[in-house]
Amino acid sequence: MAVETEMNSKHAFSELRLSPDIVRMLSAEAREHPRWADVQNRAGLLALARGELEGALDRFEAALAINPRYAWAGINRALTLAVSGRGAEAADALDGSAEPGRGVRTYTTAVLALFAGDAAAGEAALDDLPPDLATRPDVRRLLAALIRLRAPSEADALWQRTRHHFASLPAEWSAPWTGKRLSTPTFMPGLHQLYLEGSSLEGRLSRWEAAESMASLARLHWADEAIYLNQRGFLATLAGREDKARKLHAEAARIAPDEPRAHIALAYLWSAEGDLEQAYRSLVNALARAPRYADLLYQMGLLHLARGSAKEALASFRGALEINPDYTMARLQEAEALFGQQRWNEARASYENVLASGLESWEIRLHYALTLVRLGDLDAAAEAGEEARRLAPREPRVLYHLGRIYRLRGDQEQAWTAWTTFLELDGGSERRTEVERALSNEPEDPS
Amino acid sequence: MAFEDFRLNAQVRAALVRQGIDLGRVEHGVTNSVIYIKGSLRSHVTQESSDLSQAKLDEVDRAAKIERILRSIPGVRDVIFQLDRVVKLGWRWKPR
Repeated sequence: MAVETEMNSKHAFSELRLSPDIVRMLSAEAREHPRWADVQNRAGLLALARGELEGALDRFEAALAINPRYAWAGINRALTLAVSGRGAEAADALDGSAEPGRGVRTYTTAVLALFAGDAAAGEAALDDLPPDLATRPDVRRLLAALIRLRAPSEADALWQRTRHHFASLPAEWSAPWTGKRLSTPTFMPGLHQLYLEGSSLEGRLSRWEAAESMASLARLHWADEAIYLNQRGFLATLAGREDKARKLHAEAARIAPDEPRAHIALAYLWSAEGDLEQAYRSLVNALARAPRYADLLYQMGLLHLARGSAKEALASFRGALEINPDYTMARLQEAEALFGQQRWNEARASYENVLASGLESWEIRLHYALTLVRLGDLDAAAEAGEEARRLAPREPRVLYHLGRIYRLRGDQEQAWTAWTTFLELDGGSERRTEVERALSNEPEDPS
Repeated sequence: MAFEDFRLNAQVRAALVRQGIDLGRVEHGVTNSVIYIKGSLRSHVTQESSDLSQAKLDEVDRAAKIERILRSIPGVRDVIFQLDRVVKLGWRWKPR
């Protein structure tokens, strides 16, 4: 006999504890990215949270149309079909779904049995879980709900023994049943994605208590310990508590060493701290697990430069550019590295690539001009130098080099003008003597 | 200066994350202690207005705030923005 569920009741929605502004943000995101499978999957969860079962199915199916192997969308669809009373279709959907994570399909089989009122089948399914998963709090909660179908007092006793896992949450958020009915959102493992996003958004709004609660709820919907710790580390970073963030991510990395997220977070945290050795170790670990992450290669390039390893730095920046040829910041670093290594032809091409992207500063223009000087193209160098002066008309370095470029080109008047302004603005650099000596041999101001 | 660039780039990233900026839409980098920001400063937190003019005005406010934050990081020599929808003219941020 199927059990009575509360998925489409107002109570179930309020249990999800999503604040109205978070719901608005997630809805807007779904409208903005109709072709992103994860966003559509989350939109399905949101529809589910609103009790819109047909709408939820539409979104899960949209996610699967974008990515037919998107396992969580398949699991979510199966459970939504079950809640809709379409048990046979739900079973088929589960059969056709990929495995999103160890044990999820087995857990979902038990949930479908629960919704169908078949305690024995559900308990048998949970028996198949590996021991480390069988002790998860959300699995224990599901087991309590299944046992309650046949032996309420036994279930109550089990729930009392399990309750401490949920001590930080109000009872109505964590109990497997509310009153006489099952609260079905409780048994949707895929909801962790909605809760994690909600936690991040709450954190960005500095609503720390709500953010932490959302992270806890994610933990109770199949987010594993490492995901939970990483989420809390992210919240600590948002709050400016870097020490705490490092500890949480380090623990996450210890528990799930193959997952890249903790290593990536640690790489940036140690970099911001200025700890080269720890940052290097974390970057190596992160890149071993996420080798196509161009931003990490950029940060590694900066680290190599900080260590004085120009060759390795250039290799890192070029690695980032291989992944993303339009990565302007990496292109700029490539140009600067080539400039430093006096590889003028290559530097010229890199600077021109940067400038074509629209990014410019007086330093970029000046270094480009100096590169052109080395290549003997003085007209282009003067033009680039003038561009640098346009951006920083009172920058002594620009005026000094512009004067030199004009002098090399034989344009004494323009050199005299640039250097005279240089002398007015220079605060006493070593170039001053050189300019004064040169000017003493120059013609007087023609004006 | 190379050490500063290494450190500053991670601090810039942290600052952008704290402000809820979508890192998928913006590039950031540091060269010779100059911060470069390129792309669009869209927020994860604030809902993007369907009115483009309003969206640009929102980004003007965001850019001004982020510029203040980035310039306050010790060791920063300058901050250069090349944003798709807003531009700084003189001392003022304006929609493009």
